[in-house]
Formats: sequence, C-alpha cells, structure tokens
Amino acid sequence: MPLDLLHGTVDLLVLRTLAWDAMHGYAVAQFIRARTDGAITIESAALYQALHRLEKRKLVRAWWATSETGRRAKFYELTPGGRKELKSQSSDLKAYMVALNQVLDAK
Amino acid sequence: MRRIPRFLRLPRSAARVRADVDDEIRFDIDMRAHELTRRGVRADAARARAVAEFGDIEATRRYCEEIDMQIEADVRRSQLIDDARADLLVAWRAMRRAPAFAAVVLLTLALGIGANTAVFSVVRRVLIAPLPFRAPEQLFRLYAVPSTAGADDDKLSAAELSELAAESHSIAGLTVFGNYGGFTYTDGQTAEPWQTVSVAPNFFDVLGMKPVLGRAFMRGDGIRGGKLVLILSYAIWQRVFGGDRNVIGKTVLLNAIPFAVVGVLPETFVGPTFSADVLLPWDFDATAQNPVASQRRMWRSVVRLREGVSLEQFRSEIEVLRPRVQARNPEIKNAGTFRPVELHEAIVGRTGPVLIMVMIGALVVLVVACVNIAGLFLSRAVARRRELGVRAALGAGRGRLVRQVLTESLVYGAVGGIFGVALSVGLKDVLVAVAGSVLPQFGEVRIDMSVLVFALVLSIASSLVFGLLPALAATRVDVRTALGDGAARSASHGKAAARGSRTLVSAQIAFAVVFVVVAGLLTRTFVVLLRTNLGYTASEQQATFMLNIGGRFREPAARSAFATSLIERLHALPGVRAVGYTAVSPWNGGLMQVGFRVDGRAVDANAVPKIEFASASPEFFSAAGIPVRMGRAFNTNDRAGSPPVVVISESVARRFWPNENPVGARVHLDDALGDSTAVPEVVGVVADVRPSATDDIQSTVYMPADQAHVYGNEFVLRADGDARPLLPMIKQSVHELDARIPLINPRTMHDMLADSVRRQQLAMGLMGAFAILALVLAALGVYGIMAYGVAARRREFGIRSALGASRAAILWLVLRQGLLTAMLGVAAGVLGAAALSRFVGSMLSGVSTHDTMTFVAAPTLLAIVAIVACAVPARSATKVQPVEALRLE
Repeated sequence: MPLDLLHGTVDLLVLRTLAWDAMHGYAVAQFIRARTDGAITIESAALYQALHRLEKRKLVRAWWATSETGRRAKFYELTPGGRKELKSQSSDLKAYMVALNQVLDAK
Repeated sequence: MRRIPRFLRLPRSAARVRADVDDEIRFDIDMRAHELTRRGVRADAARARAVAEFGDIEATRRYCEEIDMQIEADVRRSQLIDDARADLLVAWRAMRRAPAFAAVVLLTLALGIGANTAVFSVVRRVLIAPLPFRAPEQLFRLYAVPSTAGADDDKLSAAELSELAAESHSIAGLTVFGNYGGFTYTDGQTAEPWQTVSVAPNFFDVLGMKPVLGRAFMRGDGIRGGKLVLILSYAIWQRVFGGDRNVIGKTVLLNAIPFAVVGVLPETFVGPTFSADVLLPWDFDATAQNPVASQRRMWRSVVRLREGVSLEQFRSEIEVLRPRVQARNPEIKNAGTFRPVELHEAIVGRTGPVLIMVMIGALVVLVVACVNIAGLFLSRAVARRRELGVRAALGAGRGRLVRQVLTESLVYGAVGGIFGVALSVGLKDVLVAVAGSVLPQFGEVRIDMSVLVFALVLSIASSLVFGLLPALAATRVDVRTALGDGAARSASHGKAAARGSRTLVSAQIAFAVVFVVVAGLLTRTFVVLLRTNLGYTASEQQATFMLNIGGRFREPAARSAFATSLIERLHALPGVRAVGYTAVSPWNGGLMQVGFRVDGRAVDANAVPKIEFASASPEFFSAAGIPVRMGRAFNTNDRAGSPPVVVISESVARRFWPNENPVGARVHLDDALGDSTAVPEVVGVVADVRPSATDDIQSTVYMPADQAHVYGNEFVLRADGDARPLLPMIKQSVHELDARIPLINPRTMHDMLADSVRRQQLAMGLMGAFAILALVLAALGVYGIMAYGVAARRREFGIRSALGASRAAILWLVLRQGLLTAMLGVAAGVLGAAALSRFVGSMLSGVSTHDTMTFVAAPTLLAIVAIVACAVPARSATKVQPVEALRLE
C-alpha cells in the first residue's frame, strides 16, 4: 500500500529526484517508484502541480526538448536555489523523523 | 540543448501556455499507457487505466495554467527591467562618448526647463493657487462706476456700504479696509516707515481666515478711546521680532503712540489689493453712523456672497437696492453705480496678462529648444544607423529599438531637468521683480512640490518631443542596406531624415520671427513710453523723497514749522534751485478726488464733475518741472489766513472755460481739505501731468499746502547738476533737524520714472532674451543642417569640381537649399506673428500690433542671420579639392 504523502513531502521528493539529474515529469514519477520499490507512488496530478509550483518559486527550471522516445517533452532541472532549498528541507525532515521515531519507539 | 540563455527566453502567449500544459499531461498519459501495453495490458484498457491513475486531470490543468501565467508575467517584468538597465547603460556611454553634444543638449534643456519652472512657480502662486481664504470664489470687491466719464473708483462711502449690506439678501458678509498710511515705527535705536492699513473688525470673518498667532480683530477693537491694538504681518514678525512667539501682548510704538500686538498674519496671507506691514482695526460701524464721515467715499470693500448666489443675481439686486440707498444719501455726488469684481481678478489685475504672455513665451522657447535638439538627435541618429542595423540584425524589433533611442532622450531630459530646476531657483527672483506690482501681496514664491512635478512633466514631455521623431526616423532601418557597404557611401541614405531636419529648421526660424516681432513691439512700446510727455520732468537733476512729518508731529503748527525749516536747510545745499512738496504726488497715485463747481454756474447736484485734488508748496511746480501756462504758481504769501487760492491744470481750464481765461474765477471744491466754506480764486493754470507714461492725463486742482493744512510727505528738489550726490546730504539735513523722522525712498526723479516703467522694461527684457535665445537656436539649426549636408556631400562636390564646376556654382548649389528652408520659415513666422501679435496688445502703448517697422525689421534680421548661417558651410563646400573625391573612400 503506497504511503499517503504529505503535501510538502511531494515537493521535497521531486527536488531530491531532480538533484540526481534533469528529467521530465514521467521520469520523475518512475524514478521515485523504482527507488522505493513501489513503496512510494506519487499521483501524476500532484506531481505536475508540484513541478509547476517549484518552477514558479524558481527552485527548478524547465525547457522543452526531445525525449528518449523521440517525442517533445518538458524537462526540469534544479536551480542553485532549489539545491539550497533541498538541503535545508531534508535536514529539517530528517530531524523531524528522528524525533518522531523517539516518540514511536518509546517504551 | 541543456541551457537556453535567459535573455533569449521570450514570454509565451496564453494560448501557448495552454498548449504546453496539455502537451505535458498528454505526454505523461501516453508514456504510462505505452508502458502498460508493453506489460501486456490491452491498448484501450491501458489508456483508461493511465487516465484513471493520473488523478484529477482537469484540476491539474487549471492549476498548472494559472501558475504558468504568473511565471510568464514575472518573465515579462524582469525582461523590461533588464532592457531598461541595458538602455540606460547604452545612453550613458553615448553621452560620455560625445561630451560636446551632451553639453549643448543639456545646456539648452536646462535653460528651457529652468525658465519654464521659474515662470510656472510665479504663475502658480499668482494665477492658479486659490486665494488663502474660505470659498474665495464668493468674494468680490465693489467698485464705484461714476455717472460721468472717468475711471472706476475702488472706494465707496460707509453709508452706501453699510446700507447695502443691511438690505441685501445676497451678501453674507461685507468688510472694509482703507486709510492706507505710513507710520513711523521706533524702538529706541531705529526708526523705520511701516505701511498700515485699517480694516473693519469683521475683516477676518468675512475673508474666512485666522491669524497664525494670537487673535483676529473683534467687535470693540478700534473704538474711540479704546485700547490701541494691531496685527503684524508675517514678514514684520520675522524681520523685526525674529518670529518671537511671545510678541503677543507686547507694545510697539507707531508715531510714538503705543499699540498692543494682538496677532500675527499667516505667511500665506494675500492682501485683498493691498500690502501692509501692520493691520489696524477701524470702528466702521461708528463711521457709518456719523452723518458727515459716512458720506465720504473712502472705503475699499470686500463682500462675501451667500453660498449659491450667483454674480448675476447679485448684480440685479444691486440695481434694485442702489437707487434706494443713494436716495437716502443725497450728499454723495455723482454717485453712479456699483460694479462687483471678483477678488482674484481685482488683485491680479494687469499683472495676469503679462505673466501669461511670459509663460507662453517660455513654453514656446522650450518647444523651439526641443526642435533644435530633435534636429541634433536626428543627424546623429542617421550616423548611428549602422549600429542600429546591427542590433536589428541580432533580432531586436523596431519597438525595442525605438525604446532604446527614447531611453537615451529621457536620460537627457532627466539630467537637463535637474539642472533646470537648480537654475529656476535663481531665475524665479528675476521674475518676482517683473510681477512686482502684485507679488508683495502674495508673499514669497517658492519652488515647491507642485512646481517640481511641473518640471518633471516638462522634462518627460520634452524628451518625448525631441526623442520620438529621431527614434522613429532612425529605426526605419533596412538591415541589408545598413550593414552592406552601400550604407557607408550612399549620399542619399538620409533623405527622409534630411527632409525632417529641414522642416524642423523652418519651424525654428518661424518661431524666432514671432519672438523677434513680439520683442520688437515691446521695445518700441518702451521707447514710446520713455518719450511720453509726462507734464513734469524726471531728470537726474531732481531728487525726490518722502517724509512722514505727520507721524512725528501732531500739531499742524509744528508740522508747518518743521517743513519750513527743512526747506531752508535744503536750499542751503550746494546747487539747489527749488524745493517743494505735495501730499501725494500724481506719480504716486494722487491724494483724492473732489467735486469741482465753478462759482455762479448752475450744476446738477448729481452730476458734479470729479477731478483730482492735490496740495502744493510754493516751489513744488518749479521743482517738479510742471510749467505754469497762465497766471502764477503759489508763493509764500498764500498761507493759512490769506485769501483762498487754487491753481488748475490745463485740461480743467479747457473743460470749464473753453474760450475764456480762468484766472480770477472762483470755484467750489466739494469734500476737499482745508476750509470747506471757502470759495477760492483761480490764480494760475499749469500743465497737465500723467501719473505714468501708460496713464491718461489727470485733471487736477492744486491748493496751497498751508491752506490745505498738509505739510510734507513727498518732496521734490531741483539742483543745477546731478542730484545723486545730494541724496546723502539730504539725509544728513533731515537727520540733523530731527533724528526721529525716517527718510523714505530717496532717489532721483529719473530713477523714480525708470521704476514706474519697470513692468514694461522687464517684459521687454524677458521677451528680448527669449528672442535672442530663439534667434541663436534658429541660427544653430540652420548652420547644423547645412554643415551636415555639406559634410555628407563632400564627395559629390569633389566630383563636380573635378568636372569643372565653378566655385560660384557650387556655392549657389548649397545656398539655394538652405535659403529656401530659411525663407519658408521666415514667411511662416511673419504670418504667425501677424496672427499672434494681438495677444500682446494689452502690453503695448503707442504702437500698433501690426507695426510696420517691426514687421519689416524682424524678418529681415532673421533672413540675414539665416544667410550667414548658410554661407559658412557653403563656403567650405567650395573648398573641396577634386582629389578629395577619390581619397574619401
């Protein structure tokens, strides 16, 4: 059963994925599914909304190019600002996870 | 493929954004369906699953489109800022590369904008800003229009005014002022003359204003035997009391009488047709109830109409009430009717048209300056076609190029505007002198926020005027011709631009002709004014000054004694021939008007003719240079107890004794000074005088000072030589006789006359300056276009000369075009001047608005200037050596 993801978490996952390489939206979804062995699936609707939202905030940059199948696709890559945002967001989330685990594991 | 340079990222249209979002979503669904098919799902089922798995497609599409539109808006905005920054940089570099060009443009602009800003600061204060009173449009002055011929009197009697105010339904309030006087202020060390004006206690209420400090006058102030109080003007408060807020309650000595300060006028106060150092209260109600005093027309009034009452209604009400009021006051002779005049108009009066003329003049100079600059930009823009061509080739659209060229002109406009505002601070003071006749009432003129806004608007407007035409002309570039080698050589590449420049130069010349005509008309007026026969002489050999003897001595005997001993002392000064005095000289507005009746002739009591009344000491006529035509002037035997006598002016003699000798006749003077029962004898006839060159002659009756009981005030002294060195001696004599009488305005009569025509002189000076500026600009324009044309055609001239063309032929070739341009401008200018000169009609006197001499001289001058400006570059064209034609490539 895929986890129900929090809104901000989608943005973070997308940023993390694009840190790997520039890619189009479908590739982002596939990448996350493959990486988590299908544990995390992002609904396409949420994914594209996140991508456009991030572009507006200038955390990612987009352009149209030819994809591996020869079709025109919209590619996204991280901007320096996005890289910085990813760093601070993921350390925040990690700290939160540690705290959450301490509560959950409390005997 | 990876990174597209940001500056090439063009904003997308709304339709494009929608298509992109659709494409992106479709791509995702297609990819997913493709993958599912590959895993064995049937094609139609795979598609349905992909769509279902995507989620809410419609919501996503809407969300993404909205966000993308915001992104596009951001892109557009930042691009605009980037472009502007780049344009500014280009403009700045271009300015630095051509410092001479920049200096000429900036200087011209600074002068133009500076002059306009200065003029506007005065125009705004005097003509545009509302008077600093509540609902000033409801305020009117009341003038008396005499039933016989003559000028309006701005004074009415207390009886007429108070009865009118009581019975009128239109009048919400009526206040009066008058008794303009000079008091001597003393504070132990200094004595200085102060202008005083008496106002009714309700003055502040009716005008709707408050003192800035202390209180307004109120009922009870000014009553006989009451405490003497006064209100200081803001300027006196600042200058004499240093703006001390504790001045309220202080006692000041005026003519050695103690007054208590109760208030200070606001800085913005505008005297309703007066300027004063202090206001004194006057118990007007008591005057209105006094059977004798109430009949004298000596009060200037301001009425406030009720809200909603129109001037028309007020006028018709006056026509109903006036006959009743006058029937009850039969003592008021020659009553005539009343005329309400808007207060603003009454204050601004004759200065308004002058200011408007100067404002229009300044604006036209700026337009001409802009046209000149446009010409400069145009010829330079043509030279920059190559640069612009390169930019066009790199993909800049025409709009983008226009914007770049315009940015440059805006930079010039902004810098020129800043210099202009700095300049206007000084220029403003020059103008204040022009509008001097009313400006003292308005206080200080400032370069304030609204004036700065005006300067800003002017700078931007100027930039557009001189920037737009060259921008459009220069950017009409064809990339190939601009870049191809044709551009460098072609002599005809700027044909359209050159035609544009020639039109501009014609326009400049036309404007210059108009200016020179106007300046010429004003100069002719000034000369006419200086040559006008005033009836008195105003030479360097005469000195004049004022003394407030009445402010020092209460008793007539003491005044008389002082005047007599002063005259003795002045006579003892070197070279002094005559010393005389009068109460208020004709050139300072005269003392008062009286009814004039010849003894033994029946006259309708309602139509007693009014003439000017003046007092004169025995030597006044000879000192002032007023010739005696018949009989005699006064002498020392015409004193208080001796038989009453008068001297009349020529026009009085002509009017009342057309074919007789008036000497020996007896006359009655109504409301005159002196013994009211006397029937004085006419002993002499003197020349008529006019107050100033622009005024009509004044029919005057003179009474000996001793018999009118007025001593001093205005003195005139005639010497053998230059009177200027006598001025300090006069001061010394007065001081030795009595140190507590201040000497006011000592100067020669010549300087006094010069002051009286200062308005015309300054108007002439300003328009003359505008004319010279316009002339120089036009000459520069002609020269510039010719020089540029010659430079562009050097090769052609070389070829012509090589082919055997004579120098004269080449000279003519060049001159012909320039002269044609100039003559078109001159012709247009003459037509324009003929159409416009009537607007300065009110400034002229003794000169027709279509004065032939001016209309011949001005175009001739322009033609000569144009020929010279053409000839210099034309001569250089004849010097082109044939060999240059070959070398130039």
